[in-house]
Amino acid sequence: MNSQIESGLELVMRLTQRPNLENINPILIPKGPYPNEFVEIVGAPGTGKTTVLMDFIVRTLLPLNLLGKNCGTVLIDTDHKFDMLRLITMLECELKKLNVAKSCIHSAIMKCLKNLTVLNCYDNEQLQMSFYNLEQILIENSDIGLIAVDCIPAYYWQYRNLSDNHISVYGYTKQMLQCLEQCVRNNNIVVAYTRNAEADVKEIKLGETIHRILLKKEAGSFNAFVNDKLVPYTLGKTISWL
Amino acid sequence: MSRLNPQMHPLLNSPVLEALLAKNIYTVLNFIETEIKHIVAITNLQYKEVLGIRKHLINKYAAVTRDGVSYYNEIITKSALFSTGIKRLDSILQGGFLTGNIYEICGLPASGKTQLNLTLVRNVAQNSILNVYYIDTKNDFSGRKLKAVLDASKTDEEHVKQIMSQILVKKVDTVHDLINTLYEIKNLLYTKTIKLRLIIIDSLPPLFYSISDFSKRYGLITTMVNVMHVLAKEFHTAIVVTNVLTTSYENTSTEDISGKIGLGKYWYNVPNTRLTIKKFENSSECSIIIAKSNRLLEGAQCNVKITDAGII
Repeated sequence: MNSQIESGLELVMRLTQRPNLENINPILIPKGPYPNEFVEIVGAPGTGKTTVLMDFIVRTLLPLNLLGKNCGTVLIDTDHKFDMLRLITMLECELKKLNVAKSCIHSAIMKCLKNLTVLNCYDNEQLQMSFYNLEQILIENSDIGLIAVDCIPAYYWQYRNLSDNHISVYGYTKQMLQCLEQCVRNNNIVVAYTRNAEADVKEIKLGETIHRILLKKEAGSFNAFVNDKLVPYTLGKTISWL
Repeated sequence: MSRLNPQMHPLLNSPVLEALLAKNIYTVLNFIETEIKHIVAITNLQYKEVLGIRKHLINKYAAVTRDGVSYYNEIITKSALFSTGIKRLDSILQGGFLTGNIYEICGLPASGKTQLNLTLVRNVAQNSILNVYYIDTKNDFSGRKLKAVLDASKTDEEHVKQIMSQILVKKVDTVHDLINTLYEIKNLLYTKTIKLRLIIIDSLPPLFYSISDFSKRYGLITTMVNVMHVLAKEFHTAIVVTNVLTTSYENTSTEDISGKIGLGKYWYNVPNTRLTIKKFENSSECSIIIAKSNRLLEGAQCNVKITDAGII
């Protein structure tokens, strides 16, 4: 039998009830994401990775009665493509679509933003330290359901130069993800991250399941591939899944 | 990478540090990555003490935790939108250049990139009391050219002096110079010595040509980009850089510009908004297109005219 000693802290983490993100985007992920699973958004530049990630954030932040999950999100931003004002626009569009009265929109948006935590990172060391800091953040807020990272391999070249270690982008990305996985292990949380790469890039395997969303731009139209299922989408003020 | 040192925590005295160094634990990250019980064994500190050091280091070196509402309020109160002074360009930019963003203007040589910068500098300095930082890498910033732009727009002598004094010009010759300058600006902003919301770098790629080792070049670009992001996001500045496009005779398709942009693949994805400027043959008109943006409509286009008084 494989027995393991766990500390009181780990026990608390494992038993904390976190919000459930199942069916957050049934078109893309028909089953899940279940607690502790990962969602990978991968694609070439200009395919809308950040927008897809923001779409996940919007769905997590919106209240339950408005088709959201009403839970907290931690955003780790390394690429600085995330635009707060754009997030507001996306929230506003969703609320308008659901016929929320104009007078309530502002307060509804503020309520959503209260559930968002933003961590802006500027180098590799800070990014990894922020991963280690997640433990504390998660203990303090039991209503956080999603950790969003945009994007994982941002500091590859800096790392490679400082460490004199000829690691590949793939190796570095994997190393970072393993570090992140280690930090949030058994926390019952969903991690969504973007990865800037050509679509035929090698898959990364972790201990937990990864839902892979592949974004491609083909002949001017956008397509997302999940397990060979094709979902066309359009990018505008918000993202629309067709 | 931050090296461990005694100033970081009172318990990190020299015997403790020596013991850690002997086990190849040099940096803050090494310390955090090592299991606590190992550190206890190496240093003879108590578990609780190591936990305390760990917590302190994580707090100090991790990213600042901000909640959405205060982050939004910070952006709303500190953001600024700079009109370029070119009406048609402002309209495709939804008002002008917004702080917190890195903009790139790229075009073939002599397509009006510098002229566009001068127009922008003039307009911001003319309509505000803010400083503008102009980083010149080609050694060709000319006060005369700027004065000509000002004179042609009928600014009176006193005002011209005032405007010229708002513009800080720095010539840089190497990449390291540039990175140091960016850190210097960060320091000046931190101590509130200057009121700066707009930084222009004209032009980026020449500095990097001299570095032939491509891995080293990419490393330096990343270091530079990291400082730029700090300046843009934490100090709420807009950064405008110019870059060159290269034409190749074999590949004449104008659709795909990714291979033709200076500085390569990593940089390609960095700017929040990329504008390409193209001069029409035998005319003083050029067109400006939004080639890529995380916020604006891609493909939006306008035609502008280059005159002695800048671009209109």
